[in-house]
Amino acid sequence: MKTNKLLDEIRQTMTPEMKRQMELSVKIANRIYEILEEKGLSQKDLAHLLGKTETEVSRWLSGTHNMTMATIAKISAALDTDIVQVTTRQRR
Amino acid sequence: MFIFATSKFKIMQQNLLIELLEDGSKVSLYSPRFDGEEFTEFEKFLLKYKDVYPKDVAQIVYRLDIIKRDGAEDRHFRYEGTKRDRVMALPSHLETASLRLFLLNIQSRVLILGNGGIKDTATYQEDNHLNRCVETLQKIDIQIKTMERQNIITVNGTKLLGPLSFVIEIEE
Repeated sequence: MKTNKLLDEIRQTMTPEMKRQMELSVKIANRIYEILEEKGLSQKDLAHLLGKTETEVSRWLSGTHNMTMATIAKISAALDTDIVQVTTRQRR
Repeated sequence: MFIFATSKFKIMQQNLLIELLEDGSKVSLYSPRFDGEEFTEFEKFLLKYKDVYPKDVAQIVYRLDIIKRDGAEDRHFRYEGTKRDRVMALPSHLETASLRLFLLNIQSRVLILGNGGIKDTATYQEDNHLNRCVETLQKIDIQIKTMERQNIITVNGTKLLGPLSFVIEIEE
């Protein structure tokens, strides 16, 4: 696959932390969209449930927003579905 | 009575070529390069801002990687331009600066990355540089659309096929 030299140089500057944060933000946004689709809800409906503006919700779901635990919990509660799950060690 | 208005700007015709920057499994990246220039519009954007706002530029680049891999979902972009054109901006929200990259989204499989900059006005139209970035893409979009209708330019998978040289008018 063809890649661009300048883009490759910029990629070298990205820390593993930056990449993980971006991937996590996008995965969380994707999961919220999945849940909305499953429940037949729109982004506007979610904004209404949260008592927020559509612009604010759009920012949260852009995949670039650094969502707080409080926001994740708020959205999970509004949708009555866990957005993220934490893996734990299996106990024997 | 006739009123003659003369423009304070000089109109110039400029040749450009839409160049492939990178292939992607779901989306490919292209950018226009004007005749006589070393870099494409997107490369000029990167060179201008990569040292000034390194985190923001890195975020834009990584976002493009995600788009290439996963697809050009609407939520990655902010709608800019008019309802008639395919001009969008990326990303919609950044933490450290209002850095705006303008692009054309062609059938969610090809992105033609233009130039951009810091948006510190209410609308891009209020900023000369940003307005020119958008107008350049709009002019390219008009020509591509005309050729798409005639099947002279087509999108095959993630490839933009056909003659990709254009002449557009730019105000100096």
